Amino acid sequence: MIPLQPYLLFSAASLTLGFAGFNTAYNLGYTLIISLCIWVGFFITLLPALTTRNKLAEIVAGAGVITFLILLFNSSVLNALIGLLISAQFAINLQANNNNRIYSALLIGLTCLLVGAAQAKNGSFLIYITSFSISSLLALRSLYLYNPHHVINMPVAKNTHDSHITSAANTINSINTQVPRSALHILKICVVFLGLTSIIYLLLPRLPAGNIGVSISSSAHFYSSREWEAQADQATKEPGHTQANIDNIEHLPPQKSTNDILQNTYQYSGFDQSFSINNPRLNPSRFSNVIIAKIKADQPLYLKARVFDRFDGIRWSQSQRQLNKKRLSGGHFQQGTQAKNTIVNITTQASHYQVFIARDNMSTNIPFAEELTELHFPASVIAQDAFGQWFAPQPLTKGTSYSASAKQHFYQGRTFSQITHKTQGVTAANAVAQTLLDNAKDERKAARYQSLAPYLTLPQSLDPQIATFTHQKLQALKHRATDLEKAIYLESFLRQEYHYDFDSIFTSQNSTPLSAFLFETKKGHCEYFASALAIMLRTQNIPTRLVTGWLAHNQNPLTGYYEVRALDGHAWVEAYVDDLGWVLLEPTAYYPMPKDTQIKSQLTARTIQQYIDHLNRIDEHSGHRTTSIKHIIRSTWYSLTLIVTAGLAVLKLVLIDFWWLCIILALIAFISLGLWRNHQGTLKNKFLWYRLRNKAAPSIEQSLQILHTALVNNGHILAAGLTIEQFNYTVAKSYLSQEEQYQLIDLFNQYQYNKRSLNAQQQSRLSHLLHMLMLHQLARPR
Amino acid sequence: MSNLKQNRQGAATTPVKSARVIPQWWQSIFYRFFTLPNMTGLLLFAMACIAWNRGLALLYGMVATLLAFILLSVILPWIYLRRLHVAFEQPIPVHAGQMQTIHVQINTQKHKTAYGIQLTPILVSTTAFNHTTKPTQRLNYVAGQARVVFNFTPAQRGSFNLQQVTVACAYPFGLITLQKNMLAVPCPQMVYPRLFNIKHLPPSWLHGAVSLGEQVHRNPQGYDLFVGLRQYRTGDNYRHIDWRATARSGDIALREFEQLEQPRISLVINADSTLNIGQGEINALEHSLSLAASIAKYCVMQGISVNATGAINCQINSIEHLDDFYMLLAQLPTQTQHHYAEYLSHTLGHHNHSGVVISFISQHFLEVTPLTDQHHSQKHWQFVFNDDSYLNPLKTFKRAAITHHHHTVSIPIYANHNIADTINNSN
Repeated sequence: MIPLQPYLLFSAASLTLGFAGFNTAYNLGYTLIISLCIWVGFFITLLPALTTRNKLAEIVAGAGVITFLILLFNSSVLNALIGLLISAQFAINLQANNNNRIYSALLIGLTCLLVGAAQAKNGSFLIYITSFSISSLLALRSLYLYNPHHVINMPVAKNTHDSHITSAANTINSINTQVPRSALHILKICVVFLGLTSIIYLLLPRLPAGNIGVSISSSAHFYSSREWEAQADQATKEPGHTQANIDNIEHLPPQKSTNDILQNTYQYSGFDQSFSINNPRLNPSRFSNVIIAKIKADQPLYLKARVFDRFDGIRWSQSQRQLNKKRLSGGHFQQGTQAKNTIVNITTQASHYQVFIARDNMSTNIPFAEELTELHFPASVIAQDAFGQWFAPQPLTKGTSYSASAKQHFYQGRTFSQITHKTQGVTAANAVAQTLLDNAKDERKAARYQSLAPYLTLPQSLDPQIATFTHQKLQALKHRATDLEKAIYLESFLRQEYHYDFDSIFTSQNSTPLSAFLFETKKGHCEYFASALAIMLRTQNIPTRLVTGWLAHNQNPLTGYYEVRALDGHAWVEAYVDDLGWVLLEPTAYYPMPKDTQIKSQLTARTIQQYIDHLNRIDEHSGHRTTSIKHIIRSTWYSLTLIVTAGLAVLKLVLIDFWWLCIILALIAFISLGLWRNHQGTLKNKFLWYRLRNKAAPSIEQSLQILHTALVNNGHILAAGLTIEQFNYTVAKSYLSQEEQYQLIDLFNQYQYNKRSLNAQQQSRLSHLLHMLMLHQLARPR
Repeated sequence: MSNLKQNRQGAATTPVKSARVIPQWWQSIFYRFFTLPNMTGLLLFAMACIAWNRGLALLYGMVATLLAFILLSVILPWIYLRRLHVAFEQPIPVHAGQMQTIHVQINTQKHKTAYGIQLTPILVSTTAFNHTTKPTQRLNYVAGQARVVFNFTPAQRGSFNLQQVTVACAYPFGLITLQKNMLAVPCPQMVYPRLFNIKHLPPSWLHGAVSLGEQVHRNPQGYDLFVGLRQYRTGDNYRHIDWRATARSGDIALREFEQLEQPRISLVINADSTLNIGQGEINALEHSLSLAASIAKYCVMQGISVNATGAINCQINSIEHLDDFYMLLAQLPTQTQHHYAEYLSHTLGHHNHSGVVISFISQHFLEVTPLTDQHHSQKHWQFVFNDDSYLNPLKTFKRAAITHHHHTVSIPIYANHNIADTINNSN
């Protein structure tokens, strides 16, 4: 007979849910079948008689090893280990005869779930976590209540009747009082548990990730190209002969086929070799906010895909089209070590991130954050253009993942994508040598600026008003401003004075957009903003370039991944300022400023709020309904986090600014609590007495009730079924004379048990006696 | 595969030590460390490290779940323990070696519920009770009020106060056990001295004792003279209640009688520290008190009056008096001043009405007080406790013979010998 004790049912459920959570990435039907097999196997292994268990355990253990080997060679190491763990659990079921098998089932289920959580990228995994938690809670609870050996025991010796070790639990006699199977109580515990979990989750600070030993790169197929490999090998053998390695950028594999104008493909022409700011999206439909990639990083990132330096008034393109191939060793690329940065006040921060492609038929661009130091990509060879952007041999497919490390530079609170490496602070032994050094430095600077000439070109058809307008705006900077200050000022100007407009993507029709944008409409999409800023800065002789890529700034609070949606295909500006390097500028007000994003831990509640805000804005702009169930759940969750965040903000304010008040209040509360504990009975009785004083004489019933309350307040524990004689002996004897005691007993018994009621005099006498006792109790200090 | 060797008859014998078996010492270390709380803490630490390393929100969610488990394991037991009150009900006195029942009443505030409560009464006398058999009861559910019964066997006499109960709760997961010592109103607990099963007094010991040469069987309840009223005590015969006196005073009053011309023995109780040899229940003083109680009981049942003197003074004329005597014995402390010789001399000299005077003395402090001719009608039984045997209870001693010297019978008592047999098997 299958043992159907609650803790066995729930622990089987926990193991099954844990495995289902691990297998969530696979087909649902396949997961359900395997889960069902595990559930059934769990109970089957509990069945066999004691004498046959040992043999079966060995068979199961052997089967587990075979399963492990099969999975190891046909699937992944992780799958093989999980299979081994499940087999081990079955073996434990057969071997163990105590609670250890329950605990091991829960532990193995938890392990599977943990592995699944590390791989899951969808917030719906929370359902598995919640279900597992509830089933484990119920399993442990029923185990504690219904199994007296609720501590971990040493295993009992097999096939012997004498235990060598007796546990302390054996001496406990359990009164198997039937616990009312109160669904309400169980529900209460579950609700309290889930509430506690939510609060802890909201308050848990997120520390910067360690990323120790975490370098992910995988894909459905390995990216390779024999032609590229040959070119890369030749370049390695003949470093001077670069022609073979240089390939026209137009020979990149096609970005997309003409038939690929589908809803499920990502189409952002900003990733093409050139694009028009008029209608950067080929898809005429209202665009969706589907997730195209997920990024695991510690802070928001700008991932560059393309850099453009040439603008003809409508179209951005690249002046250089080289494509250098580079071999990857084991899918790993390490950037050469660069000279140490000698610029003062520049801070550098290392960041590690992973990108998971969620859509098919992406471009061949490999978006990455500057300044790349290390790349793990599932390819034998990749290519780099003249602007340092990387490309894969084929378009990226769904399921591709790669990881990279980058160095982020910050100067005066601004993010720099690249820092100019130059030597400084070198002094010569004498004036002549110093002059030579200075001349060399000037020559190098001149050479740098000469190389930046393409980033200063302006379109011939440019409206001259733009230059004038820019110059006028910069007059507001009263002092002699540096290039960085000018760039920041213009960036702020555009963010404050101009508005983001989704519709401009589809409505602009081959007209010169920049003048209209700057002087008439004052609204547009990110390409307008970026183009405007780039051109305005070029009119002030500041080299700029337009960069397209992904802005990963929207973190899903449930999964922790930054979600890159179709909307997040973005354009921004980089400007070369003050011979320092390329500063990142974000002129589009819709997007957050690229400030010094030092890794800060923040509360989950804040993250959730920002995420929901972003989704609501997308829905609002894309015309999605705001009354859907999803929206309602989202709003509820937002309100909850708002309450928590607001509460925490107030708490923080109070604690920091009014700490002295908090200490005083805490002291007062502490003292009050002590006083209340010691004198609460007396105070309650005093209050009762105060209330009685102003009222008419209470009836006998009321007197008894008040007397009872007063006695309890004075610390008397009155047992149920106390007779008047016992009461007299324990309490009344101290306050009444002998005769009064007799009268009390007699009258009370008559009042309570006699069918004949008391006459008026007797009632009065009884009331009087009770009143006397009441007075004594109420007036007496505890 | 069974690790048991089987003999030719197929019966299981001693287990075979297999090289594949994990050594016992390793298992004991493993299970001593890997308790549920330790493993949970370790798991939490591991999960926190993994969550920090990967920086994934779902992993932090699992850490939050485990933290919630732990927090709930602390909060709920704390709440339940705060709701509880305990009270003892006065237990019926028993003799050492007999099962005693202790009732503990547990109440919850305002009839709220509490789950998974474990109760262990704290027994004050640490030498009396065996630690490995601490009585513990577990209540799965308490709503309002519950009564818990503890049955255990006290091993030693004494008067104790039941006051504390250790209440523990590990609801709902058994992860963390919170424990609290709860104070109740002190409740006296009486354990009378152990009784030996005395079937008869050896005739050779009685020979020469006036009025006890033949065991006179009188009405055990025999009472001849009304001596007065006293307050009712538990166990008294209801037939002796004086209702008029009870009505007058308000307390139950009992008529007391004394048996006249009843055969009498005298027990000279020795509570000197010289007799306090041995540990725990294997103690010469304890044995002497047990012997005195047993002899008193036998005598009273045979209608022989007992006069207790020495460290206590008590007349035991009827069964009703026995409880008083037991209570006095139970509460008797060890006396540091050595007056036993005086007590004995006085008793031997003045209690001519006693057929037998029984004394209890340590071998090293043996003072033989020979009865002279003037005491020819009286016998003196001297139980001599062998000090060495009580100091070395595991050592084997050759039993010395009972000696008769004039009217004195010297009976050697050893720690590991059956005292009842010493009396019952003597001729």
